[in-house]
Amino acid sequence: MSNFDWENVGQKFSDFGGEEKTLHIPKTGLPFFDVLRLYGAIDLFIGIQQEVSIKDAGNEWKVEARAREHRLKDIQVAAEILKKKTLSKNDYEWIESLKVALLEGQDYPLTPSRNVSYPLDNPDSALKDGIRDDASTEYKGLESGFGKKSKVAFPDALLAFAGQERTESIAGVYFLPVFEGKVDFSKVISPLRAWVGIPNVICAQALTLLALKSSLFAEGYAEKLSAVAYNTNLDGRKFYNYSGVIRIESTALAENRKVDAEFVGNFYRTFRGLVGRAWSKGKATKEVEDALAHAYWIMQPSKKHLIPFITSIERQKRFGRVNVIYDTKRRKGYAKEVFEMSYGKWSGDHDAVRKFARAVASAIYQARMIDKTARDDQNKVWYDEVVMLRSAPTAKAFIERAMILIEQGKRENQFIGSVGNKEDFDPSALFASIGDSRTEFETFRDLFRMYLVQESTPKSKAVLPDDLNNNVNLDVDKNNEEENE
Amino acid sequence: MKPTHYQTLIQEKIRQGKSVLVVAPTGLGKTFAVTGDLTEGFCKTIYAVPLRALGNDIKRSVGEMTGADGNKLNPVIHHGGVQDSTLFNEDFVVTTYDQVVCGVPGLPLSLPLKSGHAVAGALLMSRLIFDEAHLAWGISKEALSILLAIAKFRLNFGLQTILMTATLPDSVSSLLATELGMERVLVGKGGEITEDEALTERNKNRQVKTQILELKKISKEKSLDLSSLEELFKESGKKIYFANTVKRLQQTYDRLIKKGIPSERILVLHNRMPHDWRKKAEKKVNECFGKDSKDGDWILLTNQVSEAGLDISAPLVISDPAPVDTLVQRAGRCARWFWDGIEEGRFIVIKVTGLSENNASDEAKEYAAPYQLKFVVSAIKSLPAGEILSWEVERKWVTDSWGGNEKDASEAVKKSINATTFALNLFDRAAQINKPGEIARTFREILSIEVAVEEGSEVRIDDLANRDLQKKVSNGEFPDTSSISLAKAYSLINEAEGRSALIRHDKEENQYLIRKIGDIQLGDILILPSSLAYLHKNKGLCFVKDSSDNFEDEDIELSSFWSIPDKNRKAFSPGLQKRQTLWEHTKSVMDGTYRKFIEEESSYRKTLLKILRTLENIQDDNKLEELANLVANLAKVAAGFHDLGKSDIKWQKKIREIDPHCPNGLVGRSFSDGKKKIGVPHTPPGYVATITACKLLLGVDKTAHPLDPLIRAVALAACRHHSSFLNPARIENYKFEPHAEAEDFVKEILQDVGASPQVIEKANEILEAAKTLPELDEVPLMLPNEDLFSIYSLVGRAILMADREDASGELKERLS
Repeated sequence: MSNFDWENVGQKFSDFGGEEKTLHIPKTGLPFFDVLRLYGAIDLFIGIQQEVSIKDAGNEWKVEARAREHRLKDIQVAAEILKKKTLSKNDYEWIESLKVALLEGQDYPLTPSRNVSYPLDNPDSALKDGIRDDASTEYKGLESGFGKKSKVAFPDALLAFAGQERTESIAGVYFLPVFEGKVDFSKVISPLRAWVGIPNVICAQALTLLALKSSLFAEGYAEKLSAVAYNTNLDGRKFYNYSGVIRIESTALAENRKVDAEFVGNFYRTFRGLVGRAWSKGKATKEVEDALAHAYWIMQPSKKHLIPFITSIERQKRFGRVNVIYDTKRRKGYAKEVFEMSYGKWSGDHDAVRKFARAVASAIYQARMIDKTARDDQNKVWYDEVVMLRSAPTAKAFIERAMILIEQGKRENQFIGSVGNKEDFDPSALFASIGDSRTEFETFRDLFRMYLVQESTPKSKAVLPDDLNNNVNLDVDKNNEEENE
Repeated sequence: MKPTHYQTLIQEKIRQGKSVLVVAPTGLGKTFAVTGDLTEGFCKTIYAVPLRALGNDIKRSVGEMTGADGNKLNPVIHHGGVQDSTLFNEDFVVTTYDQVVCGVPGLPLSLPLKSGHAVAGALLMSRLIFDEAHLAWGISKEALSILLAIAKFRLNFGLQTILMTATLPDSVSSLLATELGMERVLVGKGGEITEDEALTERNKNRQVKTQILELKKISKEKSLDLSSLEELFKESGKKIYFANTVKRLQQTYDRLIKKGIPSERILVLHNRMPHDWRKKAEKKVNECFGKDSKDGDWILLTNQVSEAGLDISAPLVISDPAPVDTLVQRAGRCARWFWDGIEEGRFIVIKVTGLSENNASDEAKEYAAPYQLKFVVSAIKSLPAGEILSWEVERKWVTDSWGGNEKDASEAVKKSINATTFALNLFDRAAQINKPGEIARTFREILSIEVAVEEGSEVRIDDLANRDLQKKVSNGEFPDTSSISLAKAYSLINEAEGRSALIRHDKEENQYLIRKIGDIQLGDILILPSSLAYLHKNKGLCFVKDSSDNFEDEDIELSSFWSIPDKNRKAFSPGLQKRQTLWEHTKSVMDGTYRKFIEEESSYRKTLLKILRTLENIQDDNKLEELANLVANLAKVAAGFHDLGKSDIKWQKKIREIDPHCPNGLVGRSFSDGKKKIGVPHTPPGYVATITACKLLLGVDKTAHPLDPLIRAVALAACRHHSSFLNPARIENYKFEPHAEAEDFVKEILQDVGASPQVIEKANEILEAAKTLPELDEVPLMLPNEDLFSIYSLVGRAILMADREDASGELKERLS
């Protein structure tokens, strides 16, 4: 038996991991530059090996952590690399002032200034190019950068330079995730594991958000991602480069929208595939419109963006692609979740609409698709019916078209709309969901379209109509899975 | 063996635990300089070489040494081709760079990935030697960064690391040593040792003159005039020809045969020959070109496999054009035995007309391949033609060859050192997705794939196959293979267009499978149809498109020879060959783990002290010892809970179904034929249980404490003893239901680690906590970038080894 002194040893090593520190990093107002400086300050004063607690206090970042001082990078060496020459007495002075400012929250040194050049590479496009019509070269005054090199204070340049190592880029857009709360940075190293062709900025942003979020779910940090700062560096368009911050709460990935890891993972895989196909050798393909519709909805899941998004999903399905509404890997649909992200809580009956859409899906299959042998022909007739339904000008016209389909489908298969097929929708709940006004009907129609996609899973041809045990909606998703990455 | 002056100095530094950068010429006994101290005392050593071929001679020379205990040292070789090590347990392991580079972050290439942290721990505990370190320059810029990152990572913790080279300019070696904090030992003028008897003898007796042999094009003909080269082969005496590519080597063989030179006089040795043939060829080469070999008109046609590592010599050495480091190594095989008197020799380097950096002729480019043209050009340009190749001349040649680029080289070193964060990030990324290939591919040039051939236009594994290859694999048979580069393997697979196959080791199931080609991974055996490749008894593996051999020739074989290897691969399975109660087993693992960290002379303890001193910057030795004792005790607690999941109701029920004769009480181990699986995990509850127990013991259970990260690292090491990938927060469909006797079991653990009666009374609290899953963000991933990764690896290894030692009843590794 051991006689180890457990009682006192905890107290004896209460300084394990180094001293506790609080950093105060004042913001400049340039979004990407500020996040660069945040990472730089953590790297130089705390070290990325440590768990840190980050708080956005409005005009400054507040970072708390323990730091093993002796294992930190040498700030003077970093300054020397940045300056590309030996440090002067003046340099030692501002480095000292910077330390005091960050650690004690005192006056932050804003001199000397320097031109932005290698190895500090484009710390923020807004700084580089200034605001058009209101020229600026110094971020303090935001004068024009056109034709001149922009200037930043050396202390800021040093922090930004140290933070540069943490940037990730897709197609000329640089990103930095912004976390709040307790974070262990070694867990979030290089979450961008995707490389895609040449998407545009909005697609790159959406892809990054999804990549980050799905990666962070794996590490348990999904909720701590509060924003993503970005900075474009597009060749040939230098005057149109810009920077900014995407707040997670304004996107489809906001916590209050209750996204789960599976939805994000499926969306990420599907969207990555779509973006990969949308540009071929630098040129846009017919799928660009769909990629953009997906990207706009992810970035801002408003009602305005939902309709083109649904249309793009329908089109993806028409071309035999996997879609974000139905996860073929997990046999799970997300129509309800996507709808609620744009519409919030809805007073209608989801179950009735879903079952009705399922019955219509079966009807389309039995009445239109079953005699087609080629999958593309099947998809085409499916899409034709979808277009017919979605273009119905009124609720009455819509119901008529849907009921005609169900009637025709029932001629081929009597179990359409039955309990066995899980298509036993409640007519009164359905009509209540359609509502009386045009607005109510349009809301219903959006939801119905998504359920129709979700429930239109590929059908087996080997259906025995008389055998109730053989569900006519037998999923044979394997055919579709090969496209799911 | 008496060490020379410089060997003595290096051994003194090494005995003091210093890290050294050794720069010395070939033939001066660098290997003995850095290993000679092992005759006086134990030091676990891992010796890394950039090419597999270099390992055999290191093994041979170290194997001849006698340790302090009077027994011969027993080094083992471990790389993609030969896997004689079990989790780097052995005292001396000779391995390749790629194995080390992937082992450091816990992603070993040729050892079970699931025991990755244990491999990382073994590397931390060992003296790590990188031989021929300059070769990292030629692989890729990432390779150099990674190598330096590993050195820096280790040197930060004061872990002994040795870099050796013969061919770095003085300024670069000096910069490296300064930046990394190593002690440089450069032998010769301007170095740390100016006088050395071996160097004096070498300079005095070794009279190797360098020459250039220019090959020109015969006018109006496309081919080069090779007559002057062929004249050299006709000279009497021993000759070695170093070709840059196997293809040229095989073509030279064909040409010499055509010229009437008897095949018995020509020895061929390269990497692309079946291993059995190569062993025989190496033996023959040693007989004809080794020390004390007889005179004869032998011609050795060889390539990179002989330019370093093989102790052979000839008075005439001819080489294809190559970078300066390669040429210096090749020149080192000329007039090598200088101890007994004057040895004269000629080192002739081929230069092809039109060799220039910017506008080289096709022939010049072809002869320089696979090396980068600019390095070849600068080496030839500064070659000291007509001079005797003394060490000083060699050094000048190296410096001149780096020429104006010496400054660039220093810049490159600086950049590489600054980019070591990239390397550690790369390690983290690879570790997060469990893919050593992410790291290994940066070392691609030195990675190879094993290749066999099978007669026919397609390798079939179905009913149409000539031989049932799957059955052979299932019977434990393997083909005798040749090595080719990974890049070549890719191109052959493309050329084969689905007509090839491969054998792959399924590491998780520990079985071999044969399949039609898909992707290829390191460790696979590629089987090519004879329509693409065949074996020639003298030339080795030949590719049909490069050769004009007649398939009727008796020297040709269209199918590889298959056999059951002499030594079966060591399965490192714990085995269920012993009946034990859970407490008996746990107590044994606790004691084993604790002993490793508490014994003063143990490698674990020594390594732990170094790591803790660096991490916590503790100067007071007593405080450091106390902290190490704390880690030892935390590790003991973790070992106590490593199998807590076995105290689960379902687990106990299952084990009794499998072996009804288990002893009374909670069962820890049973007899099993291995066919029946328990199917209930037993490692997950250990994580939360260890954390809860440690915090109760420390009296900090209600609050966050600075020691929490250390406790989490140790707890994670315990619950990952069967798999480096286990995340205790991600166990689906598992619920720990403690057996009625579990509380007493926990009390025994607590009592054994010296808990107070009050803490022992809280045993149930620990079990209740163990029923819960930790929050995902409360589980560290323990990636190489994290400060505590090294402690995690070390504790993980200790628990795994103690577990294995209890299972087998014998010590698996030497501690001191």
